[in-house]
Order: sequence, then C-alpha cells, then structure tokens
Amino acid sequence: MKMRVVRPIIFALLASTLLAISPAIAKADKIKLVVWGLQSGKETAGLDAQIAKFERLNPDIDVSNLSIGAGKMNPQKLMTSIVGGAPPDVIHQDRFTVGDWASRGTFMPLDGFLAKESGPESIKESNYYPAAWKEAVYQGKVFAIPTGIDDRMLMYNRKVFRDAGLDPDKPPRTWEELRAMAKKITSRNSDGTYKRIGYIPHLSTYGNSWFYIYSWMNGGSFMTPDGNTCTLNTPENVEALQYLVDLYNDAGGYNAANVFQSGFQSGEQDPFFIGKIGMVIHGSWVIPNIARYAPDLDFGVAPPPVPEARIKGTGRFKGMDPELTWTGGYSFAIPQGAKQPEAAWRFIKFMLSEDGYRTYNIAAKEYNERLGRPYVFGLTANAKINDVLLKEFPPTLTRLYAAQKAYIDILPKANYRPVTFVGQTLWDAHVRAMERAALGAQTPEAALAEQQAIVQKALDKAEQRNNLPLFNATVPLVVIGFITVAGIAFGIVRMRKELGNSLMAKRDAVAGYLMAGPWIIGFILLTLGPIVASGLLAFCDYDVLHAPRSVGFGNFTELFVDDRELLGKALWNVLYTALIGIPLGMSTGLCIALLLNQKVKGMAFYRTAFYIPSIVPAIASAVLWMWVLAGDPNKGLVNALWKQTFTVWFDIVPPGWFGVPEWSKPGLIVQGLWGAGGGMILWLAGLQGIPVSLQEAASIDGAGTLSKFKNITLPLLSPYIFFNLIMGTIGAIQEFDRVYVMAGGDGSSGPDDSLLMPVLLLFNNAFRYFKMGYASALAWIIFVVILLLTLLQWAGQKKWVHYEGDAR
Amino acid sequence: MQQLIWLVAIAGALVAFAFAIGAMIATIRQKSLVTGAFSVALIASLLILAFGVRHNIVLIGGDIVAYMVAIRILKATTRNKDHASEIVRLSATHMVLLAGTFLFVIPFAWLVSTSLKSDDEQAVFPPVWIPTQQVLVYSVKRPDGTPGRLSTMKDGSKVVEFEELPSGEIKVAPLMPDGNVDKTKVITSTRSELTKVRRVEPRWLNYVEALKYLPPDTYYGWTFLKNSLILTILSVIGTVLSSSMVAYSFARLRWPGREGWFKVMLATMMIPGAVTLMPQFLIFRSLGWIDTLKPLWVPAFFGSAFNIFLLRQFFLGIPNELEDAAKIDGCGPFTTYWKVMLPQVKPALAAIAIMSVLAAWNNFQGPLIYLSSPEQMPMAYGLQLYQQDHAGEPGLMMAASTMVVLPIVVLFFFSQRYFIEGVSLSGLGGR
Repeated sequence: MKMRVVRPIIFALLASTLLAISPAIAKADKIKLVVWGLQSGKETAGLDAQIAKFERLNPDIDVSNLSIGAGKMNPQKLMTSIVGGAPPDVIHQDRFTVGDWASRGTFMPLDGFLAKESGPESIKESNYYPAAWKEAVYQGKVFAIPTGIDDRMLMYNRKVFRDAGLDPDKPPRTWEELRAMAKKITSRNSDGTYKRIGYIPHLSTYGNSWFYIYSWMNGGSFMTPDGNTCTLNTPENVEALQYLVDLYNDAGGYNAANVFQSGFQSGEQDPFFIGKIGMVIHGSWVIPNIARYAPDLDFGVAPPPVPEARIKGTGRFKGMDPELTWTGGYSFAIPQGAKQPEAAWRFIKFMLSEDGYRTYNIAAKEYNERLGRPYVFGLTANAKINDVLLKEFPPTLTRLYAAQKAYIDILPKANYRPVTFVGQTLWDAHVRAMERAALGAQTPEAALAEQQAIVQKALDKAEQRNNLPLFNATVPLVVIGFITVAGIAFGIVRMRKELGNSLMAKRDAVAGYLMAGPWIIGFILLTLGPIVASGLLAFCDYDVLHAPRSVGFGNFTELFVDDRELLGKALWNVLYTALIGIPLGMSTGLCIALLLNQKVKGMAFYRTAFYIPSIVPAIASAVLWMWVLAGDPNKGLVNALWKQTFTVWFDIVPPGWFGVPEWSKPGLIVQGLWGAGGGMILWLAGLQGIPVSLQEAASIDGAGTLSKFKNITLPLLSPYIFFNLIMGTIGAIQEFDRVYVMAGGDGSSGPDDSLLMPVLLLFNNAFRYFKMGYASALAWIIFVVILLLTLLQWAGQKKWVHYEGDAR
Repeated sequence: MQQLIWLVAIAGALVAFAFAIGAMIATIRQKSLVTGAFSVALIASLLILAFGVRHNIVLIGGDIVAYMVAIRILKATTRNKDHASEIVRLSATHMVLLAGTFLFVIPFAWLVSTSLKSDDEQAVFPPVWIPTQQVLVYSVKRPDGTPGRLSTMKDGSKVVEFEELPSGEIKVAPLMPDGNVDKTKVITSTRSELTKVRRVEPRWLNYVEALKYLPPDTYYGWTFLKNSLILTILSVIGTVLSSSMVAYSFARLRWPGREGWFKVMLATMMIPGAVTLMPQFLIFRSLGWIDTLKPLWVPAFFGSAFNIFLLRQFFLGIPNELEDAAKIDGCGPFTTYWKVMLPQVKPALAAIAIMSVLAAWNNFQGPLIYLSSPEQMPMAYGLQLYQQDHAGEPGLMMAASTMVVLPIVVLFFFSQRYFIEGVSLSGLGGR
C-alpha cells in the first residue's frame, strides 16, 4: 500500500472516531446516580417506568442504569471498582453475598439512614420476612435493604405424572417417594439416551436446588450460630449428600445428567415445560416464565420433600416443621466511597415503596398483556407489599394463582444461607463437595470433610490475620534505594570513561538515550518496578483496602500445602493442554505447509482458508466453539456430524465436551487446532528457504520422500520448530482468555475444575478476592515453571536443532 | 467387527477417491470428453454410495470397482507409470487440502448460518444449514399486527395461523386460492397438528435484534465500536512510533550501556505478564485510571520488546551509506531516523502495525481487569458479556460474534500481504 492510499484511510478512521465520541457528550448540571445490577432491555418495561417516575419526582437526579458488564454485578468487577475508587452509587446485590462484602468494609452501613426514617412509608424491619432482612445484617449492622425474594418448591408436570401412571394430585412428600416416582418417570430412547428423566437432584443450568436445600431437608446446617465453625461434615449433611448421590445414580450418573442437560433450551423449549424432566426443585421466578411460554402447562407445586421421619416428627426431627424452603434474593446497598449516598438512599426508598412497586407492576402488566401473555408479578421481600400485589395484580389463570400463593405462603418458613464473610468460600466448597461425591470421585463423607477443612481454614485465617505484624517496608526500600544509587553511580563512572572528552560521542550518547528513553522509562515503571513490588507482595497479605501485613512464606505454604490440590490441578491442566495441544498444533500447521509447498494450484485460496481462523478474536472463537462443541447433537455441530458418522460406523456416542471433566480439555485442544493455520505461514517461509539443490541431490542419491523429509526438511526446519516450541510453551502456560470464556465467563473453572489454569487461578485470587499477596506468590511459581521449561528446551536444543552455517 | 469393516470401507473409499480424481485430472488434461464424463460419473457414484447407501460391505465393493475402473482410465490416458503416480499424488494432495479447507471453513459457515436462522431451526437434528422461515401471509393480521403464518394441516390443506391463544392452542383459517382466508371456517388447532410451510429466507432481524438488546447507554453497540477503534488506533500509533524509535537507537546510535540495556530487553521477553499484572493494577489505580481506557493504550507508547527486537534487525540490515549521506546533509539523529531510516523499513512497520491491530482489537484480559462501565468497553469484552446474557439465543449470539469477527476478516483481505509477512517476520526472531 502506498502512503497516498494509507493517509485517507487513517483520516477516515480518525474522523469516524470523533463522530463516534460525539453522542457520548453528557447532560450536565444533574446528579448522575450510577446504578449497577438492575436489568434493562426489552423485557423491563416495569423497571423503566419505575426509574422514569423516580426521575420525574426527583428532577435533580439523572439515573444511569448499567445493566451489562459490571452492571451485572460480576463480583470481580464490583470489587475492582470499589478498590479502584470508581464505585457505583447504588448496587442491586445478591443478599447472600452481603455478609462477605460488609466484612471487607466495602459497603456502607445503612443504620444511619434507617434511624432517620419515620412515617408510614418508611423502611422498617417488621414489614419484611425475617429470613430476608437477617440475610443483609452483618455483626448487628444493616448493610443492605432486601428487594425481591425467591423461594424454592418442588414443581411437577402433571401430564408427565399421568403418562407414567402416577396420581397427579399426589406429589412426593418424602425422600423415598421422590426416588420411587423419579424412577417411574425416567424413560429412554432406543439408542440409550434419555427421553425423559424423572428427577435430577441438581442441574447447574436448570432448576435450583444445590446441596444446601438437601441439607436443610435433613435438618442440617452449615455454620454454628456464632459463625466461627463450619459444620459441613455432620451426620445430617453426609446423609443428605448420600441421598443426592443416590438420586444421581438413579438418573444414570452425574455425567449422563450433564450431557442430557446440555441439550436444554430456554423459552418455549424449556425442558420442564416440554416434559423432558418430570419433577424439579425450582424457584418462584419460574412462574412468570410459565405464564409467558407455557400458559397451558399442567403443573403443580409442593413443598420440597423431606425424610419420612420429618413428616412424622419423630427422632431428631421432633418439633421441626415438615415444610421448609430456601429463600434468597436481592437487595440494594451503597458501596463505600459512593459519591452520592444521599441521592442513592432516596432512590432505594422510592424503589421499595408501595408507589414504586405499583408503578412497576402497572407498566409490566400492561406490557405483558399487550403481547398476549398472562402477567405474574415478582415476589418481594416485603410481606405487606406481597399482600397488596396479590390483591391488585392477581395472576389470571387459576393454576398460576395457586402456585404463586403457595410460593408466598411458605415464605415465613424459609431458611437462608449463613451470613458470613466466607460465604463464597462455603458456597464453592459445597458445590465442589457435591460435584465430587456425585462423580463418585470421593465418598460423601470424604468430600464434605475435605471441604469443611478448607472453609474452616479460611475462618481461622481471618481470625489470625489481625495478629500478624504490619508489613515493614523500610528495609526493602533502603536496599532498593542503595542499589539504585549504586547503579546510577556506576553508570555515570562508566559513561565518563567511555565517552572521554569527545563532544561528538557525548551528543550521540544523549540522542541515543533520548530515543531509547520510552522503552527505558517503560521498563523501569511498568516492568522492573512491578517485578520488585510483586516480589515483595508475595510475602505479604494484602487486599488493597487494608495495610499489608507480612506473612513470611505464608502464601507459599498456603499454595503448596493447603491448596496443593488446586495448584496441582491447575498445573496438570495446563501441562495436559500444552503437551498434547502444542505438538498437535505444530504438526497440523507443518502438514498443511508441506502440502501447500508442493506448488499446487490455488495456493492463495488454501492459504487464506487455513489462515483466517487464527486471527479471529479469541473471545469470538471461544463463543463460536462453545456452540459448535455443545454436547447435545441437536445443538452442537460436531456432535451432530459425529452422530451421523462415528456413531453409525463405530457405534461411539458423541462426547459431552465442555459439559464433562474428561472432555473439556480435549475440547479446548480441538478449538486451539482451529487456529493452527497461523503457524503454517511460518512453516511455509521456512520450507521455502530450503535450497532446491539439496532436495535434488538427495533424489539423485536415491532418497525417498520420507527419508528426504527426515534427513533434509526436518533438520533445516529445526530452528523454526525450536522457536515455535518455546513461544508455544510460554503462551500455553499463560492460557487465559478462552478458558475464562469457556469455563463460564465469571471466573468459574469448568466441570470438576477441569479448565482451571494457573492464570485463571491467579486472576480469581487477584481481582475477585483481592488476595494480592497470594496471587503474586502464584505469579512467581508460574514464572519459575516457564523458566524451567524454557531452560530445559534450551538445554535439549543442542541435540536436535540444526543451525545452518553452524558456528553458534 | 462391524466397526473394523467400516474402517476398511472408509479407508478404501479415500484411496478410490484419490485415484478417481487423478483419473479425472488426467482425462481433463487429455481433453478426452467421453472418458472425462465417465470419470466424473465414477466420482459421483462413489459419493452416492458412501453417503447414500449406508452399508459397509457394499461400500467396500464399490471401492474396489471404482479403484479398478480409475486405474484403467489412468492407464489409458497417461504416458507411463511415473506420470500416472504423479497425477494421483497431486489429486490426493488436493483432496487432503480441500478436506482440510472444509474443516477450517465449516465453523465460519456455521457461524454465519446460525446467525441467520430463526429460533425454531436452531436445535434440530440433523442440523439445518440453509436458513428458512415460515411463509407469511400479509393479507391476514395477527392481534399484535404481524402478518399471519402459513402452515399445512395433517390432511395437507393450507391454513393460516392468525392467533395464538394463552392456552397454547392456535387459531387457524383455511387459505383460499385468492390469497385471502376464509374467516367463516376458523379452527382451533395445536402446534403438533400443524406443519409450518417454510421458504429459504435468512433472518436478518437477528442482527437488528442483537444490537437492539444491548443496553441503551451503548447506542446500539456504537460505543463498543468506538472504544475498540480508539484503543486500536492509539495502540498502533504508540507501538509503531516508540518501537521503531527505540529500535533505531539500539541499532544505529552509539551510546554507552547500549549492549547491557539490549540484553535486559531480551530478558524481559521471558517474564510472564502474570508477574507484573497486580503491581501494574496498583500503579494505574493510584493514578485514578480504573474504568478508563488509559491503562490499555498508554503502555503501548513505551514500546514492546518483541517489536523493538524485530525492527532492530531490520535497521541493522540497512547500509551505512544512507545514514552517512544524511549526516553530511546536516541531519541530526532524530531527523535521520524520521526522514531517512523509517521509510526504509516500511514493510516491517506495516507488519508490526497489523500485529498490534490484532493484539489491541482482540485484547480481553486488560478490559476485563480495568473496565466496568459499558461506555468504556471494547467489542471483544462486549461480546463476552453478551454471551453471558444471551447464551440461550444462538441466533443473536452468532450475529453478535459475526459483527466482532467481520472487521478483522475485512482487514485481512485488504492487507493480506502484511499479515503473511508479519508472521514470517516473527519467525525470524528465532534465528
């Protein structure tokens, strides 16, 4: 391209950029209230009306409702924004996490605002369901005001019940009945796949039960009331987990359930609506979906089944209510450091007032009815308001009304997850225990014991943390200062000596340093400084919000002792993908290059076709491949083709790819191979550098194709292979982008941590939990691994890398 | 056993194909029409046998017959054995390349096809490749104002769906030959009794909806595009300017400590980004740059070690005479660099620019850490968020993905040469 062509293009780009900026010039003079965590879009007519009315009543406030990204309340983003000093003013936050956030001093206590409340419209505890209000109280202070509420009941498809020969008016009440009925409903296709499953104890993308509710069914708990001891591994919980495992085994095992689930769709095709699953423990939020997508669904709701002894009230269940539910929901909170707390409180008050809810429901009802959908309101944590809404906006279909009322009536009997600063750890631990037991990797007891120890350690560590000495920066600073001064002095002396008195040399030196300056400055500020800082951080406990405390080798012992399993898994995962992925990718690229090097016609066409996938943004590629490799042959292209070919020919059923631990990494490798064409170009350049004379000489000597490849091509390509190997290894160990997306896009790490990579682990610890010290220690481990592998390859290269005109 | 036979059958089919295609090429070269047509027919019948008749023993038989016929044709049309094997080798190469191309291109085809399908075609087996939609009847209006939809009843008669009842049933009326419906004969039917009448028609609305479902503060995704452009342009300018200047200094200017700094620079290439990630965050935080684009493009202005290294090699290759001449003309080091040396390495600069366009456009980890408001987000990050929101709506997802991929593909087609050169260049680094 000539400059003449390039310039107008650059100008056009710049001009379009400027144009693009212009609509963003904002309205001035108003308080800009930034709200995160509220949905916004086509389906949120109610919320939009509510916000519009608030803005009308408060003309000095302009609400900016962010609904994606950080606005979706990704905890990592919220933490980063609070730590980074740019938090939103109001957040709509899952109540269950409030204790954790409050313990870190990231939320503002609201007691000051509550104390000033008076009048009939005021926010007061007595109006709320106790489970909801208490979930937002930490150490006696109120940190958030509950908004919506949800609870869980057993939903069953009455038509499926009839088909299976069960009485649709008799849903299971006990655990034993649930198992028996589930078995009766489950049926298979002729090829062994499921046509319908009676009941799956827990599905990661459908229904909502988790292990928590099974524990509560069995009268279990997770923490002692004082919040100092974790009680995951109690007989009640072991029994509950064993029951859950039994249910999985009834349904063909955890992996089978996951593969079955990968074919689930939403909307009209919802698996429960179309009778693919007979019973499911599901939340109250499903009723509006039923109204919208399956208004004629013949379903019923019942309290979650419990052990038979609990119904009878015998044994340790004496005096316990046989009915229970699990409630959760959202709440409004104000982050520490919010710029407009007063305006934020006004916003919260309006949103939670009767007027606010009425505005919401009128608009939402009108929107839904205009589209011909029956309207069902969302439940609120305020019991009084639920009464008002049930009176003013009753669901029109009797079945929906009955279901809605059942969900409301059981609310006072709700359990809630313990309010604790280790809430997330406990949650992750309980998921991991559930998954491992369901997979059969551990017995329920062993799984629970192991996870309990992890939670307990987190509890104890927080206790100990306050006793650690503050990090003393004086010694390192003095040492660094000394080294700096010595270095500069040494530099000056050397320079004097080298330059002498020549004016020319001096001018050259100044110019040289000036022009290399950007990199030198960048190196000191963005590389050397951070390396030193990271080295120091590795020996600290630092969460950015509090002063660092020195822990010595604590972070390393934590990594190698307490979390050795996690670290080992991360390293194993990365080695697995690298050891298989790199050679496979390199040889694919080389094969294509070898084929293309035969002077075939249409080279440009082939080259383009093979190369383009390698420049597709990693995120887009990951998103595409998640779909291409979906486990269900109805959805995933690969499995559809597989079912038409391999299943017919060799009788192998399609794999579950990202849904099952054994196949998620192969899936990753397959996706990576798609980009192997990037290396092809490099191989081509290398191949074309091989002198034709050599090949011809070998041919005359009677060498075959294979021996020519082995004795000429490979040795001459070896520097390329070596270079690619080193770059590939360094890149593979730092694998992050696509794993982050494919493992769920919220910091989770795939089924059974099978996609947990070292940098993902580091990212989660650094920017989700803000354990900067721990993450730095991990960064150094990654560094050492890379260094060792590179040195190993470097040492090995002498044996096989052939440099032309060798003198090195 | 059955599986083994299949394996043999498929391998045999591949060999037979190679020979059959070889025979076709040979006949085409000979311009003998009859045998040419015959070999094309041979390939076609083998294809039909492989995919139409799904029986392994039959396929093996077909393989053998096809193989023998192809050999006969080859013998008849080629000069000698070497010539024949040369042609077969070439056709096998093309076959493998075409198969590979197919594998590499098929996900793209799937991407585009999925982005144009309506929801009822997204999850069916076998997969649908060419998007179709239910035929609309504009003379009939549904309650929401959209046109009626054409279906056939079980008995084959054409009816128009004009209202969906809350109970899930559908009101239909027979279609009359004049294009109107007979409202006197309304029937209430259900989905399972109706078969939709479909017509090949991509659903472009997926693209419109994909943009419409973005939050209002992104102006239909315009903000994402704007941020990506800002980020890319600034990163490219920064990388090209600073890397070339530093590289020039390392290559052509003489200053004490140069070798030492250069070695340090090479060493930094080994350091994983993970080590500097957290302290860099702390630095940018103390500058108040969180939730701005600055942490993403400012570092580009400090040059990148890899690019500096590459450009240095290029500057080293330029003869001294040019520089000397500039010096005699009274140019200082900077003018020499800017006016004389920079134009000499234009191809390398272009390649580096392209690589940094890719890096900036595809950057994901940076935005993930530093950005939280939609007003600041670039497209790659926007796509990931979109994926979380609309994972159940493949049509919209793939439409959004296509829009993210498209600019890069377009860029590739306009500057293919520099892409290829860039990759080849990066390989030089190893030598």
